[in-house]
Amino acid sequence: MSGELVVDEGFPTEEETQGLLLKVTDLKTSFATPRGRVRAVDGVSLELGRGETLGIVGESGSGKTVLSRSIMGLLPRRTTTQSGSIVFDGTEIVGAEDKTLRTLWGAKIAMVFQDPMTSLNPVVRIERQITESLRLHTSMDKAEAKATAISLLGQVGIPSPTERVRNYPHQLSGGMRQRVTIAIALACSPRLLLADEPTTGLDVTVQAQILDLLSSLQQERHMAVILVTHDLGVVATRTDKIAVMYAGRIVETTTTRRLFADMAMPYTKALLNSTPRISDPSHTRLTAIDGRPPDLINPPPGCAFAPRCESATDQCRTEAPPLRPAPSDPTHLFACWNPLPGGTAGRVTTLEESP
Amino acid sequence: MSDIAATVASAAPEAADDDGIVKKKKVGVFFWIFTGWVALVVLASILAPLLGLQDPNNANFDAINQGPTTAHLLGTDDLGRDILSRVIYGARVSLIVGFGAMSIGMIFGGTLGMVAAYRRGAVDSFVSAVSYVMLAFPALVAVIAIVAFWGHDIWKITIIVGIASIPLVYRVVRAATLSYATREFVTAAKSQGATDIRILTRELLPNVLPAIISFFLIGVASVIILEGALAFLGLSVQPPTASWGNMISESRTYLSQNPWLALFPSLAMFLFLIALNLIGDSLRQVLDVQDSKL
Amino acid sequence: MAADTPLLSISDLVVTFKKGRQNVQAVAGVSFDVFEGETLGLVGESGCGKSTTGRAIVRIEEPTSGTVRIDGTDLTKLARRDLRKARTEIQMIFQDPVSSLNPRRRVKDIVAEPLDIWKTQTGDERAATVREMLEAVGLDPDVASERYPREFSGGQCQRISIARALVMKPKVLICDEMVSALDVSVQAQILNLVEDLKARYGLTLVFIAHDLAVVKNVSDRVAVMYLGRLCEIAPSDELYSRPAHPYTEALLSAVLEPDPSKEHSHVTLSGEPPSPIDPPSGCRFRTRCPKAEERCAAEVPELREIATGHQVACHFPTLRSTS
Repeated sequence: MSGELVVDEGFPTEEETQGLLLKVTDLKTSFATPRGRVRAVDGVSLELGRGETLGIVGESGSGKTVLSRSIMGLLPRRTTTQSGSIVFDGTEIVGAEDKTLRTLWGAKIAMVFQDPMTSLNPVVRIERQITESLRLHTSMDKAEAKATAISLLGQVGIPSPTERVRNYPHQLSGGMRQRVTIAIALACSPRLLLADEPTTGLDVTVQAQILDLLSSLQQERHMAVILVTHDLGVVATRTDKIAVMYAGRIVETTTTRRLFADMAMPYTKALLNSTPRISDPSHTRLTAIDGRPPDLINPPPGCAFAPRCESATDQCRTEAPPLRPAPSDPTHLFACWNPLPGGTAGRVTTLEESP
Repeated sequence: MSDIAATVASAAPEAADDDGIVKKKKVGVFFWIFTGWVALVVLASILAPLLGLQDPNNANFDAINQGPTTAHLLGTDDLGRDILSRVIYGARVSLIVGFGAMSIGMIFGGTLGMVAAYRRGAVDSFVSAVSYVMLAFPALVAVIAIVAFWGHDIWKITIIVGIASIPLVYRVVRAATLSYATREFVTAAKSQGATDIRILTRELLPNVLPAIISFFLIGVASVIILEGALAFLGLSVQPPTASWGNMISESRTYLSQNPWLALFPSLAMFLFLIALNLIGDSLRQVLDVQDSKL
Repeated sequence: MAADTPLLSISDLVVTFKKGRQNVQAVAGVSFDVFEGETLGLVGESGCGKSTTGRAIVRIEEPTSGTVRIDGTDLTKLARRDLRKARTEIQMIFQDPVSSLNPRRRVKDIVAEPLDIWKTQTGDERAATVREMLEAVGLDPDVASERYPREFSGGQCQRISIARALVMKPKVLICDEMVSALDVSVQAQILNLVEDLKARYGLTLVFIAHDLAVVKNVSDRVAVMYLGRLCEIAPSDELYSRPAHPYTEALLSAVLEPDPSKEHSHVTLSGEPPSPIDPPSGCRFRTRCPKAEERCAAEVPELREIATGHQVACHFPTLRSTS
């Protein structure tokens, strides 16, 4: 069942989480640094149903990676401060002990990272890297685990899995290594797979293969997937819904089709327009976004995108717009005082004006 | 950007204030205290004759093994010589051997290291192989043997220890240079038509020097200790010339009678070595930060 | 110079590396021309040899054989001293913006370095040139000159590299993945900047990248490489709308368009690219090509012209009529 995207004030109740796999409520994650407190995630709420795919899109510094790590509970405790709530399959992640988290990691929630060379242990054979997770979370013995590992490698499209399973990471190409990390992540059939820039740096043909693989595995196993990327092309055909992040907040979110058909946030539009496209003729002038992403230690007052936004008004610069539903379509949320005209996003200037 | 540190770094860009100068990392108070101490020792030893000190070799049999008095601020040794002036004159030995030997190492080993890292290829392989062989040899034993055989005046010791330090300096400088020689600004310089010499001096040296300065200072400290070891074996400068090492060595006999004899040169050496190490470490931290934007 | 004489002419370029005891031909006989004022895009996946080609042109990697002619002079035959001087005519911009700049030198010294090496201008002239260049790349000279590279972002560092490359007014600029390490919005800024500079200074570019959309945006003509050889070369719009080589077709269909309505049907390339140590005989793409036949294993396809300005190295290219 695909959940509605609603911004909640309080913490979720039991009934509300029953259908949902993941509910994040007003998550704030910040780090202490010598220069000050970096507010990497600054009030994010989202929901994910079982078997759904969510794309989180943003550039570097948008907080998307920190968000995905927060959802897994993978951040270094000493320097991280968190508030808000992340409820995954009934378990609260924020503030949870490692003991609790370890029952989830690998078994129910797994992550695929960007660089397979650094996320795989270079001195351990592939076989052990997969079976480790299996032996930890299930009651399989060595032989069963090995057989499962070989089968997994086959499922992720690695040829000659029986030989490959004895290889070391450096003996495989980049694309194959990424498949191995997917196999490791899938070993215990997790309910949620977090893929953090899984194809950045891979060749375009390999990229397509990996994304197709993720899609088919997701459908087979009815697994929820969160795909974190900076590339709108990656999420366009492979996600049910998309959340666009900027400066630690979600600035627009809705179903994938609606997002591309009907963008409300100028940032989303600008992001789309600044990417060159194959379908455009050669030498098309790109609409580059001026300036740079904001300082997350001392963010400017008002909307974080205002300094770079063409439609910014005084209100944008002083008052931060809240994330709220479009008047005619409650599943389309955006945070903007002057959304792009047309479609469901009508002009709303103050909080009081509600549909 | 899958690393949290990278996320944090990108969130707090270096040029954060609009005109943004990076705030230079400051060194602590202790840095200045120890630098002052090192400067004091160096100056005092250079200017020793002008300081109105007593003759360090003036034996005064009326005043042997005395503790600190107004006439002899740090006391006297077993031959009635003033410890204060012997400590200051003795510093000369340590400083000459220490800085001298390391300088020899740096000039020869350092140059070789930089060239080898920059050019790589056959020269690098050969010299590195030789350095491995030399490093496998226990340096202390070799130095002792050669000093015992050749002679132990201050210059011979400096040269011998200096040469012995070449392989290690070579490897350290080579490693430091390698991390820069492979970067693209070196390739860029080459593609602009810069000669190799220019690249070594203008592009690489300014990057390598800060990286090895702390190694240099710590090396000086090690050499000073080595001189002390030689002195214990009677292989350093001969009496009556004062050196910290042989003062400490001679003091063993009189430890119960005159602990000051052991205390002051030990203290001087100890403080000097700590100072060198700490300065080296602080410099490394400060200079590293500047380079770590990558 | 006559309009039909190329400014840069690469002929049968071969670059071989030693990997242990084996020889790897990273570039296995590449030929193309670049005319004055045009931008040639060089595109391909990792391991195709495009970066090596770029570096071999400037002789950062030594070509094993073949010629690189710029304005008639063959760079591969030049002795050391002449090469040093000739190098100023071709400049290169690299992928990693931060590693391209000496962290211990100020921006103004970095940009002025070529002038300093060749002593081509007086002190005042040099300062003026540096100012002009920094402004041309969109940096405020008063703010930027005295700073160090670490105080700048990736995009700004890349601008500084561009300024440095242009200061000697080179004839050809080789851009080796120059926007690949940059964020999406910064990438757009730099690509626009390159277009502006091309117009302003009449630059000739060889633009090497793996991102097909970026290459199309910037280039007049595009060459596609696979495993050390050229597959296809054509004007940008032509190549992307009427690809003739099966590899080009596969590449184009694998590109992810930010458009949910485009359910791409991509030609699934079977397997992985073969190792360059032991490439397939004949056409190197044949092991993954849906059209491969016996002839492809026996005979290396040569680049043949199938339409004006459109060349393909394939025995069975897809010929489409221009409608």
